Amino acid sequence: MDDLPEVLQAAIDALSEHYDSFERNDRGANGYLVFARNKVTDAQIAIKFYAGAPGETRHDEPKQLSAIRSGNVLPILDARNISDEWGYFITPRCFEGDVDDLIATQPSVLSAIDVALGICNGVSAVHKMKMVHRDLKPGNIVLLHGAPQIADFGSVRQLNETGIVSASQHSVLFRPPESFASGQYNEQGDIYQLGLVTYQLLGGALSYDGEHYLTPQQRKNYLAITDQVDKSMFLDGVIRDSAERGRLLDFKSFPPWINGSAKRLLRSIVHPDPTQRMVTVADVGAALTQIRASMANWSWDGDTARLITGDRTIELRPSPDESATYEPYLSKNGGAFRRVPNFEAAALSVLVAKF
Amino acid sequence: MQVLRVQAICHSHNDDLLASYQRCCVLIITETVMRVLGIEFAGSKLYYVVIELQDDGSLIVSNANKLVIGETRSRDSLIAFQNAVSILFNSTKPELVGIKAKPESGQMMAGAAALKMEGIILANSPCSVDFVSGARINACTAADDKLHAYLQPALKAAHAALAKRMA
Repeated sequence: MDDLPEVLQAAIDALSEHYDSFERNDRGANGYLVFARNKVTDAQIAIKFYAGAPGETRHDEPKQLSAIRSGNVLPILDARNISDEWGYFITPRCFEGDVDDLIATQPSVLSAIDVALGICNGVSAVHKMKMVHRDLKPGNIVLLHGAPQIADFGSVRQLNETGIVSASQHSVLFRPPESFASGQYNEQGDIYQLGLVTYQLLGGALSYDGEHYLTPQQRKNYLAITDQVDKSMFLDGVIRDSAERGRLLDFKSFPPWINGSAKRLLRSIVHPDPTQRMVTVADVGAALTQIRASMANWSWDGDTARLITGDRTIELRPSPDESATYEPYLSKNGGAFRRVPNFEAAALSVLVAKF
Repeated sequence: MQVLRVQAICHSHNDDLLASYQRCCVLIITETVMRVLGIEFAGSKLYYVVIELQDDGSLIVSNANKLVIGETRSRDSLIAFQNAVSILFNSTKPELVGIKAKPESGQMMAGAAALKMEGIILANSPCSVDFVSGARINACTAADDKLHAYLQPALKAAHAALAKRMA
């Protein structure tokens, strides 16, 4: 805690009357994040210290968070002003990590859609208050008791009568394509970001490494740049170009169990042209229920694809001959797995279609 | 002119009801906008249509779609559907919900999916819910060519619920 500004150290001293076990966390952007434990209730909490110029918008983040009532928006437990520059607010501590962590575990189809529906529910509560989030991405959505909670409200803006605000400069990868040129943002921008998170949850590949999006020629040009800032700006330009051309997402990267109708619905959530994109969060929620009802609950377990239906578990295991084919195994009532007879080893997509 | 348009959209066999509806619409033209969510359950699907009474007296369809419930005995499935319903209510902000009524018993009784979806709607609705009988649905001539045929009963449920509210 020694490297925190003095005013924050003094605030922590004051907080230590009621809290202990203070612990710094460097993941908190736009301020400082400190974890602690309530001495009376044992509740684990997170204290977000934020700085801002004095003025009407200074306490926007805690104000906006506390105004929204939703089981999928992180609740504010307390908020204080500690100096002309600094303030803090307290939320529950989320031990389960964020949605990036969840995506890394390759959740099953239905788990992924359920999390997407939870996020969508949080976004609908934000839109209900005539606000837009502008920075929806897996790292800004934490998990609390298994439910996704929209946590970072530093980019939230109140919509005026036109329904348009300026675009956030955060997270170029998640920025809606139309906002690059216009610099403007509306509710459909949140829908695009929601679609990107859903795409990732369902197993779609989205690299956070800007160099991944370089074409061979662009890579040559990129490597010729020496200044780090110029390199970063070059990569931002490449990502912008990919997003505007609708080439950021690779729908072929989905696991084979993501069916055609699900892909079609997802495309209309993340369409680069807002006139072709879904308009309301209600449409996204409806699409997610349709996708949920149309797909079997496949999941990955290492290299093995698994489907549990009632008392049967089907596993599609890589063939031992390393031929890039899979073989089906079946277990009933938790018993031993047996090779399913009369099924040749085949490509994963072929076998998935048969079960 | 505005009243005539409303009359054309929702013609009621009950003249008194229609007259009251028209009177209220004239008031609403200058005061507020009313949003009504019409719902029909069919199998494992919930069809919905949102109509808005605008301040110039016209009625427009602002949203229409369907929600689908999965396994009716799966907790996760019902929670997912409940989330979708919450999203629908947050996003459309209805001030009245009209549901095409289905019998809870008898030969024509609703299925398990419909009854569970109905329960979730009732428990989560932010406003009052009007169950619209088949007779009221049939009496409503509201139609919208731009909507699929399977959405027309939900549209009629919304119109009939609005008409009753205005009566």
